[in-house]
Amino acid sequence: MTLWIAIAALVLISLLVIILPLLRKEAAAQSDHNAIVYQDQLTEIDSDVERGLLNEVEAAALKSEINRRLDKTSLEKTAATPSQTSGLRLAMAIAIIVVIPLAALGLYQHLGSPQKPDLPFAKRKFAAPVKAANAEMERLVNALKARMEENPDKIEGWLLLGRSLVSLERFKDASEAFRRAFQVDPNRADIAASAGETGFMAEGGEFTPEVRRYFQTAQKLNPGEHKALYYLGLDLAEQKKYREAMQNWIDLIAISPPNAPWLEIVRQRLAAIAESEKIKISDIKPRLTAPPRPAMGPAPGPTQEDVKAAQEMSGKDRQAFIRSMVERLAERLKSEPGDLAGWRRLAQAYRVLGEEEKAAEAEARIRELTK
Amino acid sequence: MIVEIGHFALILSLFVAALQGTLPMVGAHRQNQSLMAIAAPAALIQFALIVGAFAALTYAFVTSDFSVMNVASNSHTAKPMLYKISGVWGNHEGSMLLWALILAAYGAAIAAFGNNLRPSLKVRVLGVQSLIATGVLAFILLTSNPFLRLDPAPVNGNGLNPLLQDPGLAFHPPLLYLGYVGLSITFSFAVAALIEGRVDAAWARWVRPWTLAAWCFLTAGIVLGSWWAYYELGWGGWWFWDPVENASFMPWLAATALLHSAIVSEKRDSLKSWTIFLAIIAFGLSLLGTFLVRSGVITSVHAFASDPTRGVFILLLLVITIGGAFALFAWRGPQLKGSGLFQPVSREGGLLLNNFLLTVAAASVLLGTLYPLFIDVLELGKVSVGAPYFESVFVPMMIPMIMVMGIAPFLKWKRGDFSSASAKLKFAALATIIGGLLTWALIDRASAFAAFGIALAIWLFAATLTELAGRIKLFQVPLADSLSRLFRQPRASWGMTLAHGGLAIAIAGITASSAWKVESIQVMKFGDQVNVAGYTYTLKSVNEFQGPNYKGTRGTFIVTKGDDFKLTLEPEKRVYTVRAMPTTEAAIHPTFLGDLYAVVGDKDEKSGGYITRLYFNPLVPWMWVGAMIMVLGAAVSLSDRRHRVGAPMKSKLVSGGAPAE
Repeated sequence: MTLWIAIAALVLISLLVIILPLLRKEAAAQSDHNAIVYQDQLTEIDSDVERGLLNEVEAAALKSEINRRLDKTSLEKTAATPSQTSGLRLAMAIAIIVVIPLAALGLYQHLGSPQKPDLPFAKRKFAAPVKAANAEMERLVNALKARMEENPDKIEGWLLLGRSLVSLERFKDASEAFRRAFQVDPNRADIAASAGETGFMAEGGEFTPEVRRYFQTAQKLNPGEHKALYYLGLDLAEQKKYREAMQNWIDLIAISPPNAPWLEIVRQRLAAIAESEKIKISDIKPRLTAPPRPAMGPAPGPTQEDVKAAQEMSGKDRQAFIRSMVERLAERLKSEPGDLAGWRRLAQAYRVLGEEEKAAEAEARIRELTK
Repeated sequence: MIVEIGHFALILSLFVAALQGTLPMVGAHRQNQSLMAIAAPAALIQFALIVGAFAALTYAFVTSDFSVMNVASNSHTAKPMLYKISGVWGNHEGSMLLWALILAAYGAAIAAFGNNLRPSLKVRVLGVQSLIATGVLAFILLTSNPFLRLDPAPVNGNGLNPLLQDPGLAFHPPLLYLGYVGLSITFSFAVAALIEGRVDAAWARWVRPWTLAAWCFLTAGIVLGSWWAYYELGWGGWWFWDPVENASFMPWLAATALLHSAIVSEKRDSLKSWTIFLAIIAFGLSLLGTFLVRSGVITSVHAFASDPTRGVFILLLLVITIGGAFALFAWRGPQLKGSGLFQPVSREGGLLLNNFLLTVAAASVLLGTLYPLFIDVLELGKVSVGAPYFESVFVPMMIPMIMVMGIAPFLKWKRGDFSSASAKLKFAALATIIGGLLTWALIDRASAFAAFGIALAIWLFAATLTELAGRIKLFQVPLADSLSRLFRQPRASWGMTLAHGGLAIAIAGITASSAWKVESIQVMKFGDQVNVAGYTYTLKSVNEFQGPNYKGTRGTFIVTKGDDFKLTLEPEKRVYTVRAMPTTEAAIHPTFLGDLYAVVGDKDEKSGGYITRLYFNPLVPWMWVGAMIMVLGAAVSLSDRRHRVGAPMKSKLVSGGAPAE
């Protein structure tokens, strides 16, 4: 409605300004604009003479030329014919008032979308909660970071910081956090691999020597480190060492649990290279066999470790931190309701927070899934 | 709602423009005061409506309203605010809206400040201007509507070309358009005069300030674009003769010719058809430039053929506008007899000769720009016409032009005296010869061309100063007298002195930077030293950092010369995250004699060093300073009271009765 009022006002003001002169009485008599210019040219010649740019003879010649123009222009002067009668002018004004808005509205009907409101980014539904959650997360992460600088030996703190930064897509900082964690315990392959992975992300998907070194270290510490296997394979493929790349991925598939989330993409990549390089997958035998190892790398959302790490914070920060973690997890589970591990973590988190009711809800969901 | 109001305002402006282009024209033809009176308010309303539309689009960009298709495809929430705003005109639809806005702004300026014009002329100028606007607005609404909506709106936008994320470029198109589109007003003046069948000295005076204004903006726009290419593209060059640059350069050449030809028409009531012709082709070249840039025909003829709606529309607009104007010219032109006769050796003669050279130069640029297109269209293969063609065709035409530029101001109107002019110029000639010889002997014996270019610059500069000295009778009257004369010079003649002097300085810069550029491209490791034109560059470090929406690599060079010169240059390479596109930010340190210019490139994986490009670009700052002096000259000339004659004197004249007869 407001739109139509605004449009009506726009039309009204525009047309009023335009037709007003039509409705007014005869304009004042016009002066002879040409003559003014020629008069000015004459005075210009005088000042040129004064400046010594022209001598009297030249000036006289120029002046007689300009005077000829002056004479001509006064001869050409034509009297303006009287305007039309006021009735005709009124008719003209009415025609304008009718035709212009109709034409404009007609074209607008055809091109415009009057029913669509503005949609500024800040006011969009998803923007506010996501932004608020991110801002809160950002604050907490910075607090955690400051705390870690004072207590750099707490490995779980670094890991929590790293994972949180990953979920904020601050890969460079995340990589730094994982590196610090790895300094604390240089025997953990999974941390080295995480440092490599986040470094890779921070580089915009490039294998810098440093990134490569982290993956290689991870593989040395644990030949079955799945991230290291995957990314080193990728690196080998980029260096056109296709057979070795395939070997890495075949090993990875061999040791992965059957429902591992990365299997699909690994199989796709493997098939793509096999196809383009004409290498039979069956020719390459896995070097590794599946040990009974826990599936899943660090998933987004709070784990027990997170909660433990959070206990090293001050009481208020800790509560806020856990709460924000839990909210993010709950939000994610809305879109992925089949994630059993996620629901388990959520239930546990609610227990920690003392929200028994919500914890019971989550547990009900777990029972549903495990049925 | 604001977006939709903007959309409606744009549609309404189309019909207001159509009204303004027709009824007042009929009124002017029938001498009907009431109908004529519509023109000025309509021009103001048309402008206000387009301002509203532009503001609404800007609002959509600033608030990142991705329900607007144009915003979704050209903006992004992560973009800094400055570039959200410049994104409004950083795309096809928005830039056409800016085009229309400036077109309407010139019309509104005539409506508001054109009271000194003959009313019938003013109304017709507004009418023609508005007919162009009708065509452009229809083009926008029907083929390039920036207000189309998207449903559902995407979560985020598609970013903006990182090459366009540069303060230089943020202001480049508006300035360039002010000049480009400003030529529309001289076109409207020309067509209005043809319709009236009356081109007189008064007409020429009225058209001059508008030509000056357009020329001033166009010059500034071209310089800014060139400056941008200089520090953003990172190749040490400032002009590449690419079609987009040529598209702005051709109208500039024609406008420069027009500016001078209008002087002759005003002062001497001659060269009238020529002035009209130049006004038509100057705007014609602007439209052609818009067509070349906007239809996509330059990047690929075939891309144009696959979606020809826009291109065909602009081409049609071009044909109707320019074809119509030339038809009118053919019909009315023969009636435009000048009253002022002149000898070949006279100021008119000099101006005409240079006009001719400028026009031929513009034609040669046009040929070089269009030739590859024609070859491509006719499927005769691919050719590219580059700098060698333009330099070998364009430069020789500029040489006689600059020589004449020095002499012409000394020639009298009607019948000049060559020998007395040369007598006045003997010192300038002497300085030129000595300067040229010294350049050859002391700086560069290998290149006679460079010495010649510097000599030309000296010639123009010395001749311009001599002309000024003559005006103020330096050394002929006491110094205090000369000084007081200096301050009493009309601003229009200051304009000439500044523009010609500025060009001389720019020519020196152009010559030196193309003849004596020192270039050094190599792989450098930290601590490596390279000597470029006497300066020692040491690569100290290369660091990576995170910008607001890009990832940057910053190289740090320590530059030393002797014991007392030391400075740090920090060129950058940026990769914009949204589109993963790299750009270069050259580090430039201007000195009086030239620019120290450093670029850091990719890492060389084999050696672990970085590719660096180091240049010494002699006298490049002179070029920018010279060009800015030219712009200043135009602005000073524009402020001359003569250009406002009429309006303030009107009341005096009316009360004083009839003018002298």
